[in-house]
Amino acid sequence: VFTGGFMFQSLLWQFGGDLTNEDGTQATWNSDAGVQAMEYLRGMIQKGYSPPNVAQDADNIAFKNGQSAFIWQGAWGIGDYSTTEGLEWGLGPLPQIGDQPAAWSNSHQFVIPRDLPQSKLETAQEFIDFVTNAPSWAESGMVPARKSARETDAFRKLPASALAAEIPYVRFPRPVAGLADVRESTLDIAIQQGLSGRVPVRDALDESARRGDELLALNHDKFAV
Amino acid sequence: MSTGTIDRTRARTGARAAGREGTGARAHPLGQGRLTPWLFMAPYLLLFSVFVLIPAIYGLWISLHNWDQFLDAKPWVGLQNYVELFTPGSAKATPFWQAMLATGIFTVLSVPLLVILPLFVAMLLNKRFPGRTFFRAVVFAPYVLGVVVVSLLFRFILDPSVGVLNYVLGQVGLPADTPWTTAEPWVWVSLVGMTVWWTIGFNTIIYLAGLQDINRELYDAAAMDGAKRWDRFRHVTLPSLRPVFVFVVTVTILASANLFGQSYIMTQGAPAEKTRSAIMFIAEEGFLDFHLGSAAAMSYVLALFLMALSAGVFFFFRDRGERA
Repeated sequence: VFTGGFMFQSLLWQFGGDLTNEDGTQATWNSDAGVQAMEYLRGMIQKGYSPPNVAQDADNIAFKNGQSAFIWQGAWGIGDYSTTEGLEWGLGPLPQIGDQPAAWSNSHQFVIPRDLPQSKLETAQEFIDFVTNAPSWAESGMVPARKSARETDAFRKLPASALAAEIPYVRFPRPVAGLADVRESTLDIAIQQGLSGRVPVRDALDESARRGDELLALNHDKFAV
Repeated sequence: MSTGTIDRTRARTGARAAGREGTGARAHPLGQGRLTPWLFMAPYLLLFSVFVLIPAIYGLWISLHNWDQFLDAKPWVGLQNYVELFTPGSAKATPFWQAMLATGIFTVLSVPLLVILPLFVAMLLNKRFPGRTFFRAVVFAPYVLGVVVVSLLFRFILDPSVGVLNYVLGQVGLPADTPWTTAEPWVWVSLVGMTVWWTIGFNTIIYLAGLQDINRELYDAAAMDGAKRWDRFRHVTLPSLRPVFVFVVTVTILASANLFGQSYIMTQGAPAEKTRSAIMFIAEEGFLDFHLGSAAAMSYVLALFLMALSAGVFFFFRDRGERA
């Protein structure tokens, strides 16, 4: 997993862009917002705030070694940092860098098959009800989707509660079948090309969006029922 | 073609004819039926069929479909998956040929080193000196490690920002920011260097066995004829090792062309997709994106390349009959 892709998406939304059009048939990450997002990230390297050619997860190791002051990371970092000896750290919402607040997010989902018999359906509902209210889910860093679960004292004591402030403006990739795969094999590579400076930002995004369109169309045929 | 070859060919044909007559005369001396050879081969044939032949044919079938193992509908698409691969600029062709290029670069860089270096190591280890067995073990040792162990180890050693190597280089006043795993050409140095360190022991052992198989009398005779050290190497060692070379070159090319673990774990394809190998891309296409049909088609294109390459190797090392 290339975590730089999540940073780009947060910024893409902050600058007013989106990954795809509404029905998920076209890649739109090569919009002006996309270029702005990538230029910002590239600027961090050009201005010397970040070293060039950083490998995946090196930022994480540097942070845990106390070599960097902050890290832009997903909720999965909470467990890691909590168990790192001697690391004093805190957690806050993503700052606004673009025109509007936004932060990449994703979620866990439960799926109930359409043809489930009534008795099993009730059991499944009960289970989902239990999990979405249970504090243990949030202990691993996740923010509960249920408002009532977010308002419990048990949750307010957890580190993840700091992220609950982002709930009004978190953004999710559109529910398009196979979108994550398409993004990983096109956009994520373009981001690496753009950040390295070997390919102009706009060219990298355009080329990846062109390939993305093609793959989205193939997926559209494949998943069309 | 020299007369020697003709003679030998004739001799072989004659022997075969004689053999055939022989079987005719003493038909099934021990009551052996026609089934006997097949029964002897049965255990191997069974495994070969189940794990190679049937999957290979099944794969060909898969490559003609739009195949997702989790969907009921697996529509027939004919040669579409292959056509995509040969359509310049298509979403499948660009990354596939980029991956083939990465595999090619790695193979071209690593095979010469893995064919030549182990030969000299084997010649050293073939001499008599104290601690020889120990050094033989040392050279072979890395090979017993799994690809994951080696690649993770080197990822920590070579990481540009937090790796051991750059730290040590910095301590002795050398540049400490070489992007060993994140930029060309350094990634190739890292991948090839790591692979040579890891697998040099295998080819060394093969060469060592080959060297020990060379008749001492040939060296003695050469020395009597006044051959110097280089002449003995050139005219005795190298020709005697020819069958070993065929094996080593073929196996090394195939192993290098199967590059997967090293770049999957150490460089993760970085920079961008430059070190994403063919096998790595095929695995992503088939088992991450579940496009098994096009992944199978890519596998067959790669397999054809490797077959042609292996045939080329055999042709290159063929018995030209000049020593007859």
